[in-house]
Amino acid sequence: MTPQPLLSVRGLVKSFGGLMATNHLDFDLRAGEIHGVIGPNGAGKTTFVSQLQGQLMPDAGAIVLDGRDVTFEPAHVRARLGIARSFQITSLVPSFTVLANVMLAVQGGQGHSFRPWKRAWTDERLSGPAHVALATVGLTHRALTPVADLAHGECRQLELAMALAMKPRLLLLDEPMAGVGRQDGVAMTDMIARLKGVTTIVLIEHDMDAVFRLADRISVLVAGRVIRTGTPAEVRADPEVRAAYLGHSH
Amino acid sequence: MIEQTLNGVQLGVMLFLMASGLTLVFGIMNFINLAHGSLYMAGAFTAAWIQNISGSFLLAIPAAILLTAALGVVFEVGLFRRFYARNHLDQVLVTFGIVLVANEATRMIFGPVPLRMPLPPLLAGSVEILPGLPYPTFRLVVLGVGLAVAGLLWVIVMRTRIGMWVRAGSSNRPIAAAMGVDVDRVFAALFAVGAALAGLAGLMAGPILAVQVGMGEPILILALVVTVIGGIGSIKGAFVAALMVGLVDTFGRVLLPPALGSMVIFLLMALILAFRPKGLFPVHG
Amino acid sequence: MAEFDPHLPRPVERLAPIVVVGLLAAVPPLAQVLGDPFLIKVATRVIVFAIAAVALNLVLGFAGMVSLLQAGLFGVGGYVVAIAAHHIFEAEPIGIAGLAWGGSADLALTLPLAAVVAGLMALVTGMVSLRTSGPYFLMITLAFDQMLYYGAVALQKYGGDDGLQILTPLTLAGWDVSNRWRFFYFALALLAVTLLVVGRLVGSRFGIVLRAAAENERRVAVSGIPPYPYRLAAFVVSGAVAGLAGGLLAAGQQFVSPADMHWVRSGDFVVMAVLGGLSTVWGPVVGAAAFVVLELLLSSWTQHWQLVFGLIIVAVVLSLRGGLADLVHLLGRSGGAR
Repeated sequence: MTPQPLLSVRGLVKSFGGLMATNHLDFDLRAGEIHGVIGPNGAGKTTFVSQLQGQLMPDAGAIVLDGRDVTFEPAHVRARLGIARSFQITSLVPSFTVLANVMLAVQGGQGHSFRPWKRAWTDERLSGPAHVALATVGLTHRALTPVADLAHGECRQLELAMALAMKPRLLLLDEPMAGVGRQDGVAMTDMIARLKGVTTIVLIEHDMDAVFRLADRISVLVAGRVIRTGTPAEVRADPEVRAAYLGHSH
Repeated sequence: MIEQTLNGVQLGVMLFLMASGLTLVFGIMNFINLAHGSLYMAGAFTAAWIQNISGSFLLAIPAAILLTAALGVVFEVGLFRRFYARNHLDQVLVTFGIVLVANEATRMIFGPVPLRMPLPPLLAGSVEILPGLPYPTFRLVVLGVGLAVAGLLWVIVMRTRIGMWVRAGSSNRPIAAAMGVDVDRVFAALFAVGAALAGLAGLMAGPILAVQVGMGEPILILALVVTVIGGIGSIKGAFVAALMVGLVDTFGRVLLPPALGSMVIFLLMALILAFRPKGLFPVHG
Repeated sequence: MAEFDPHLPRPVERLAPIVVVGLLAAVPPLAQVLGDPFLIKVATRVIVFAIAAVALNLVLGFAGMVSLLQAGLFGVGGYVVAIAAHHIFEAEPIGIAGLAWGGSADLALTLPLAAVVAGLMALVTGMVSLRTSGPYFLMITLAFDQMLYYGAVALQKYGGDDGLQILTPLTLAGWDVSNRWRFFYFALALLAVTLLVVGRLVGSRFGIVLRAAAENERRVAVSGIPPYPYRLAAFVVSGAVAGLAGGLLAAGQQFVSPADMHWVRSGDFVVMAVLGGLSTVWGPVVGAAAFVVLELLLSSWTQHWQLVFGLIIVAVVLSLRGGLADLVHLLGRSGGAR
């Protein structure tokens, strides 16, 4: 635990009405690791990610990214600081092509610039990185297809490509395997495995096999708080985790 | 000063009558009705016309209210109903088309010259509300009727079953639909009530302002301002904002130079929205 | 809806603006041949409205925001040109912030001024109205439009309700533009520039963000881009160009009136953009032509032409069940597959 964490969360609280979706949650993320977050349905995993990314603002607590307090920074500022996210429910620009969606993300990664006069589609600084990101996820052949015509699995791949295109320091993957067929799921797992060391990843996933295969460390979320953090082997062996979670489902 | 305050409150209750229909229709049906001012105009013209042919002011009142309510139902069932699920641009276009039709049809029927709407002797005079301060009787009546209707609406919305449904509907549409109410009929009825209130406002404006083509638009704009300031869908917001707008507009016109006086309402709106983009009493999260 | 895509400027889309401008350019010679100079006047009106409608479409079609302020900004531009000329005629300087300006009848000065003043007005109103979205935005822009309208009506010094006549001959950097042909081609050149500028904007990084935010605001924010400054910039550009168009109208008819600022005129601009198709830069030019021709035909047929026009609008909106996107789609398809 010697290196300073890339991301540090302390005492995070978020309630909806009476429901404590996040309940004094503490969380540390080491640079370069793939950190799995698991927990039963309703444990508050997506709420947690949304607060990391800035779509939801916490009621209390602190989120520190690389020494900088980002607790109440809006989403676009955090994105600028290097936090990227793929959504559990696909969130794309439907009338744009695959390439245009990735170009949008590239643009976000490059910071503010209107460049009102330059044609975007001939701008190598946009299309170059976009093509690289598409190649990484294996979507090159679909670059000029409108998003509306994509299959579900391809949308997930595109989500990932967009997140990568921002060259993030921290990648939040919210159920990248959700609703993906078995074969695509395997491909997605391989793809995430290849990202190990390239960027730091928080991986929320229901597919336990994938999480235990990919993650360096795993945090178990129950009722809005982390009950255990450790290596996959430690978590698998933990009696409290087994009781709260692993023993019942799966 | 007291006189201006009364004028302001009177404008306020008129605006409330207009804005309550707008805000409910928007809040529940998610429908922007730019033709709401046309219903106001219809109320005024019907009243003036019935009074001119029958000579009876008393007869003009129910005629105007019933006709605008009926018009409301006709438009709701025949046309607007199809647009609840469409985007706001379509809604704007269709109601914009109706505004053009309504204005031109009124001009065809009644001609370009404003109609006169004389008051019966009982209401034509003025009462001394304070020693040495006379105030037109009819304006007092307008004020009373407006406040009474506002009170009645309040009771209905806050205390009755249908009111509960309306409140649920304006904050959460799916829940309202799931409450097992005949949605089509309630929507039509709601639209009719909104139309009748606009008609009532028009009928009461008749003797004070000129009954002419296009009269619905200035009040529509003010009612939109009220709706936006109050928070779209909120009856309470509409009431508070209507009084606020009524008073600010009245005093603005008296105290400020004309160019600024006519703009002061919009500056108020800009100021409020700069701090509360969803109005004073936001309903939709 | 692939026609929205910035990477695929189909051949028809690249040629269409040139064809549209070319067809308009043929009007004066045609009018000469037919011996009907009235045609030039009609086509000038088309061009002026087209400039404002093309500008509106940047906000309406590409940024996805229904603004009803366009007529107000259009009128502001008209008043700038008319008031500057008025002060020349009256030989009475305008005092602004302690400085005296004699006014000007030179369009090379007053048209840019019209654009700047309208653009500033758009900046101020946009800063407030763009904090909101959807129905709030629509109603607020409508209210601001009426604010400007009442403001113009209250300008007693400049004719109030009756409007303001331009009694000085206008020039363009010393060049007389009272000649109809000259004025026509000058206006057409401005339309061509507007099409070029809006086309470039829409295809740029700026345009990508603007269009993406219209469809999925959250996606744009998550990509690290706040939509607000982009929308505001689009709103200001649109407003400035509207002011330019309004200045042109005033110069062309030597007259400006609050009537052109009324919200019904804003509705007309929306109708033009919608009729022409919201997904192309040049579509609103076609829409403006349809509007002006319809106005002309209907009003020669009946004085109650607005009744028929209103019914046509209702019928058009009603007949396209999936909303006006259908129309865009149909037009897009008949425009030729890529």
